[in-house]
Amino acid sequence: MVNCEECGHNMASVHLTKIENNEVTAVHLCEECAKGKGISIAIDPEKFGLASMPIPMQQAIAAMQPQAPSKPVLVCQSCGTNQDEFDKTGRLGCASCYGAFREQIDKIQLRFSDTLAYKGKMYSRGTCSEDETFLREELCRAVKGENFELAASIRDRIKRIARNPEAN
Amino acid sequence: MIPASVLPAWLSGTDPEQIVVSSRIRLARNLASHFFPDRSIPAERMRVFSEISSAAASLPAFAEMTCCNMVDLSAQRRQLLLERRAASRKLVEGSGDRGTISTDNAALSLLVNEEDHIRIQAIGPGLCALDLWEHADNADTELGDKLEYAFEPSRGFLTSCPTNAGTGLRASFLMHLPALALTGALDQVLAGAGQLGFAVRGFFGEGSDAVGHYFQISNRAGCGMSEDDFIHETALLASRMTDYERSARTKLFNDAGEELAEKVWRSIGILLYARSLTLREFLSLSSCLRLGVAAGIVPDLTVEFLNRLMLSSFPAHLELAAGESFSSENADRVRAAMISKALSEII
Repeated sequence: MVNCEECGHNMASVHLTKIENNEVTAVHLCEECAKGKGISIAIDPEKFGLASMPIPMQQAIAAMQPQAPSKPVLVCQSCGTNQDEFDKTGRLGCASCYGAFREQIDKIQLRFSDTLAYKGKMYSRGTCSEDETFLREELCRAVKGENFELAASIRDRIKRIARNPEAN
Repeated sequence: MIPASVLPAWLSGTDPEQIVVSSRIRLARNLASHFFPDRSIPAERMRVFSEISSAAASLPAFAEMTCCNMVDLSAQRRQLLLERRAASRKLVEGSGDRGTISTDNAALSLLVNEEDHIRIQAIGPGLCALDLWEHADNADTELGDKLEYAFEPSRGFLTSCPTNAGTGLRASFLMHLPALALTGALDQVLAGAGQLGFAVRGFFGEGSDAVGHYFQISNRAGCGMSEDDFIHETALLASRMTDYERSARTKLFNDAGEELAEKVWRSIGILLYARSLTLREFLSLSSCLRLGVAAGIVPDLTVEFLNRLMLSSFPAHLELAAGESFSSENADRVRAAMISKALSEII
């Protein structure tokens, strides 16, 4: 515990870290002096609520809450599209989603057709695997560009290919 | 760059009756080795765009076509493609590398990185879906030899939205049904189409309003039938609706000819003297004029003239002709002046 740097006698309860010209300075103030400097310390539930937290923290907190047992969530092992996303958007992420969400897709198609049988034009080239070399190049580019969110998503895709080569 | 003055194929019809304004065949395809566009990272979209445009450039079916990446186009040029039906609203309003590879008159277009990697569409005037299918099918076969489509023998072509999976085909017809509206039978006819399993949409397709008594009808399912059967069934519905509209017109011309002539001439009066006209107002009034052409009420008017007037009244076409951008209020004034001038030259 430290005393307020402004008045010197009250206990500091507001701790600020200032970064200016690459120099980091720590400032410790009591509530009264912080107010005097125009620093609001009132906790706004909207600003400091769960919604304002970074998503991983929200997920960590959500994971701690007791939850009712739910049915297993389907996830496409190739592109990572999950049941919730598919329910919300009605859109699939890749060709492999047709394996992951087969039953649900059948039900949707049967709303518009009496049969699921395919009676259209045939195509002979079939499917091929996702291009891992391309993804690795993109991963390097994303890391170089410090786009870490994108890099993490590409890394997950490469991992999925390694785990499930036949899913692609 | 596609010139704004070239009349798009869908507006090139000359039949004075013109109940089926245009037909359209669309095929949805995806590349097997990439995530679907909404799931793709930007670099992947760029790569897909490049793969598809390179493949199309090497094929006879796509010779002399113009490739436009939406990223390189102004908002006005993107809107122009939408108005010419060479692009969809989703493509125009989307983000990242996406675009069209199209003939000048948009008779055949590839929409790249829309909801699916590839949408092949062929559009023509009147009821011509089987010819369009042949055209789109040839382009699809050529492209499918160059690119690796996502396809399962038991399911067909795999698409972002599972309702399109299978043939990936949508056969749609733009119908003009003013007499059914005036005789109060339109709602029943459109509800009947819905009950038979067909989709009914507005002028610009998915998500657009019904305006000027124009409606697009199309098949909804992608599996369970062959392409030929889907086209045949939807064309049959378009033919039946044409018969209903034709009967309603005959009844209207016979029983209320004077009232109809009054309505047509009043519409011409407004179009000649209005100082400001919204696009919606123009489409509604010109719908009445089209009926007047079919009834022979205004001998000097032709469908070709009305089609060109319609194209010129769309916002991006209006701006390009004037060489400047307008606020919507100014656009309404410029539209009214342009229409008044064009009409006064022939009436």
